[in-house]
Amino acid sequence: MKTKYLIPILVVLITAQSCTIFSLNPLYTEEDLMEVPDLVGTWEEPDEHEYVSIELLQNNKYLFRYMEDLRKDGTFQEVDTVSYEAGFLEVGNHFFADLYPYYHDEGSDESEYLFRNFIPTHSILKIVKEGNELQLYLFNFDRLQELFEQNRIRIKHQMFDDYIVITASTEELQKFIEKYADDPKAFEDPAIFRKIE
Amino acid sequence: MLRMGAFIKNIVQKSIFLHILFWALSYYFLLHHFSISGERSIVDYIFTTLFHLSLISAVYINLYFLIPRFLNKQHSWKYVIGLILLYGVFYGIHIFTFDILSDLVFPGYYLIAFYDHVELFKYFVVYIGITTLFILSKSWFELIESRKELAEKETEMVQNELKALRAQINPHFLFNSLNSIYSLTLNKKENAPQVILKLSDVLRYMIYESNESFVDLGKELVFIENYIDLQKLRTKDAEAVNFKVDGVIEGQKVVPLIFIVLIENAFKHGMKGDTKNQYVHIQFAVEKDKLELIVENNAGIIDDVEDERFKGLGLENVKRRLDLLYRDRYRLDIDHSENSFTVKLAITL
Repeated sequence: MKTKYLIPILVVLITAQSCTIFSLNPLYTEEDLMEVPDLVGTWEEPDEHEYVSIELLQNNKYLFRYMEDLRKDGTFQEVDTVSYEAGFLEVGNHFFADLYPYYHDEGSDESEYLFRNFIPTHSILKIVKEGNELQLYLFNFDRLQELFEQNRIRIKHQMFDDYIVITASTEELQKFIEKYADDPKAFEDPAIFRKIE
Repeated sequence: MLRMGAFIKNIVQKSIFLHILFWALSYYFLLHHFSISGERSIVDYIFTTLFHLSLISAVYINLYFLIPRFLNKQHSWKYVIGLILLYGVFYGIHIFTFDILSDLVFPGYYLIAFYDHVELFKYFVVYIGITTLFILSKSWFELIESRKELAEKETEMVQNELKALRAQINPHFLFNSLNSIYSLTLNKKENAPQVILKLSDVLRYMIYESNESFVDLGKELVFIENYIDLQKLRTKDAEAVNFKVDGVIEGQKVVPLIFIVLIENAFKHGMKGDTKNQYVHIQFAVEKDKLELIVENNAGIIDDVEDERFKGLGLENVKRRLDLLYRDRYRLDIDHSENSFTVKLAITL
């Protein structure tokens, strides 16, 4: 049996950027999770031939898969799929997805011991749905890094060269996101997907 | 050095200094407590400052409104309700501070309020608890101080009453004794010098030796015996005066000039009247730390012309001094029948 730990590289793939922000604690509590039937389906980013698939797992938890069509022929290669367990919620005036590595049994178990050394973290995406369009926003790493370096944010965190890990509790994280999300520089430009199924 | 000590004491007594000191210490400890990283950054200073706004508000509402209005008046349940409401105010100020005020005063900073009620409530309880205890302990010290002052005043009053008692006893007794001595010397009685010595001893004791709060019981009894001997000179039947002491009196201490008032009353009421069968029986019994005095005399008519203002003053004086100096360690019973007057005084020495 192989337990595959999928590190959250979706954001890296979407933005082609090497720096991102993670959280040790989820952005949601079980009570915060919302049903999102409008988001269920497959979404395509036509320019990069990237796809996002969202399907219901259970208890308002969704399987969020990022796929890249390397062959550019509309068929997906399994090896290029990254899966997350996603929770959707509103924080303040904004809608967010909390993505957490989704484990499933497949392949060899040679990397099991290696992956035991990884601590799975949560990634946060701001989501805007307008009609048939799904906009995914990542946090602006440079902006957040600048604020942390200037000591303008008071939240428990750990800074590394290429990423920031927020270690605050869910309540503190929500409160921070609620405040910070209104900052016009808070997010990168969105990746825009269109629904195909 | 003394001036320096008084200066420091004066400063410490200034409540404003204590308030500043308290909040300075609070700021110092909370700054370190709230500091996320090892070093204190500007955001930690701002957070600690803002956090104190709700704390300071709650503490002073408690100190200057809830405690004086409810706790000091022993309205405990109203005080508890007040504290519950105060927590609501405290929480409201806390949220307002971090959600609205911090954005207005410190734009560009992202400060998060405590949303965990349990944790926030702990701060509330600790600060309200500590400051309330400070105030209660201050009141307690003030109470101790006022009690001390009251005790000093009572002691002073007792001393004044003792002086008044001496002044009250002296004149009649002194003139009567001098009259008796005059009579003895006129008749060239042999015991005249001895009587003069007794009077001298009585006066010495009353003026010089009874100034202490407590004196040797032995000395007090010698004084009483001398007094009785002098009184006997003025009685027709000296045999009718009986004085007896039982028990071990060495080492016992007693408040001076308590018994003499009762004994003087016995001579005033009993031996000075016109009735027959005059008598005065005085008996002291000492057993361990218990002393009992029984003074019994015939119920006679007072021939002394006593000022109405001072009638009964001696006995009242005795009761008051017993109350002050022996509190619940004495019992005074007065039995006044048609033919006799008996006073029983029991004291735990």
